Amino acid sequence: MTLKSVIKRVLIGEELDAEEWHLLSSWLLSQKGKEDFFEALQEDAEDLQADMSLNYDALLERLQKEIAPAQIIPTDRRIRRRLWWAASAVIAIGLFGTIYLSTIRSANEETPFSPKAVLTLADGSDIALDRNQPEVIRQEGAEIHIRDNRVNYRSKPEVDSEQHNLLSVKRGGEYTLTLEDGTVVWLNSDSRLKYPLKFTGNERRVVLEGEAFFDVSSDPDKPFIVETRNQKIEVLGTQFNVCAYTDEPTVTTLVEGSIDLTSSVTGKQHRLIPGEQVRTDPASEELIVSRVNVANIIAWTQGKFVFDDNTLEQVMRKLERWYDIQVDYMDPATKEIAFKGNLPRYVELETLLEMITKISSVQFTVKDKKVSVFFK
Amino acid sequence: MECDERILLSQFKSGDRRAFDRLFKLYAPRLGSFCLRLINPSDAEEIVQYTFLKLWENREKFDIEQNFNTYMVAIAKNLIYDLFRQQLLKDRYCQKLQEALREQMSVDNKLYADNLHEVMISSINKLPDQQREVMSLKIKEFNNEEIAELLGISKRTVEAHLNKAYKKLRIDLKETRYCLFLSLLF
Repeated sequence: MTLKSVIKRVLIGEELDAEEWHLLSSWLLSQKGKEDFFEALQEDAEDLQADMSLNYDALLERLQKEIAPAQIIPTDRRIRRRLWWAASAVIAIGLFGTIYLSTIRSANEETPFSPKAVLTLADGSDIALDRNQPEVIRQEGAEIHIRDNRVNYRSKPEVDSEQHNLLSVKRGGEYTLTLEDGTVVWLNSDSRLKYPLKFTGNERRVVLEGEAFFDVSSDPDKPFIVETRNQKIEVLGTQFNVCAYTDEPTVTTLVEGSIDLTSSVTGKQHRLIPGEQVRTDPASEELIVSRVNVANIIAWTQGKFVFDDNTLEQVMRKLERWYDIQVDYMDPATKEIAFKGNLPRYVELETLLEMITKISSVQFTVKDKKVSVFFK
Repeated sequence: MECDERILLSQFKSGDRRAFDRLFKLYAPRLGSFCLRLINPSDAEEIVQYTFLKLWENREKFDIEQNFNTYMVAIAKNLIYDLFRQQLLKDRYCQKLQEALREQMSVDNKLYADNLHEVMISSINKLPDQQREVMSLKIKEFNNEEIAELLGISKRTVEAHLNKAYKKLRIDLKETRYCLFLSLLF
């Protein structure tokens, strides 16, 4: 029994048995869609002999009525109108295409968390996204809107080839990026995302180093693929968080929908369900699956640090990226202290360290960008 | 022969209805035999007719360097895919599809599958009057001609209502997070 025979039975309206339902539903859930369907029909499209059984004369007669001259005039008018629209759209894009220069509102200028990022265009030129940057950049027919700490790719570019941009967020920065297909990416501190101006071809592929939360716009015909150092994540439309810093194990957490995750090293695969987290073991490269509270994982996109049984070392590593500091442990044992709690993200470093001191057995001294950790 | 066909195709492209007739006589029986390998004769007639209507409507876009037969079969395949998805929405299949999906899915997603049929019915109920009437008959396995007769409207009107209804259902079901697997059905 094949998918093809099941498809045929459905097409002619026959009942399916349990095994056939199983095959059909697993195909539907595999999200491969149209291509599999077309492939199943391929054989039937070959060596076609003329059929004599249908009443082609009657069909042609009906068609001739449908396309009769009386109806041709409105059709032509409709086409012409569409052309007119197309022409005016070109003009509008042309006008909009000029580069607008303007300064952005820099509300949080003095705080440690003002946006810090660099956008590298396909031609290799860098645009610092700190302040005074252009609000609209035009590139190969794409419009890149930059405002506050957001980068949006607007109109669909007319480029054929995949030209890549790279958004690098420095330590202490965070950025939200809307890709050409409507997918929204929150990029955390010290993270880089490489993505094409336009997703041509039959997949949407981006490369991530660091941490990002993805809200992928649904497109069953074009899977969205996130590549990291050691995980490959394939989705169709869903929300998930990927933490892939080079100095930590890569961790992917699914919030909504379904994703297929493949280890780039072992080739092993796991399909995540919402609430599941997959961690790549740094030594064995094995995929370790666990269930987590997703709210904690994506808290950073809502301006919070939430720790749930994390070690102080893990906590401090986040703070290092966010406040661009360097942490020294006077006593290595402090690294292992387990830590639980919510911390605000948009406060001064000192305030945050004070809060940690209050609820734990450690204290800190801060000098320039260096933080030392002691037992009380 | 090949040269003849090029002339024929360029005449068709420029809107010559007699060229269209000749193309139909030449290719429709082949398309018919493709359709008959997959679907029953009355659906096959419908697909053949609709494929040629689409060919005519998009004639200006046709590239005469392209193989006409391949192009025609590609359109028909897409229409058959639509037909397949419509079949699965019919009462008879929808309930069982829901069960099968539920069996295969993991715990969290089961919640979504549990009331697939209910959600679909309630989405249909939200459609504007005419679209709802047409759609409710469609999932009760009436074909377009029968629906046209029952409601006293033309077949083209039935098709137009169905297209609009499918589009709305697609959006509606997506909002209720059925997109995961229903994006395939629509």
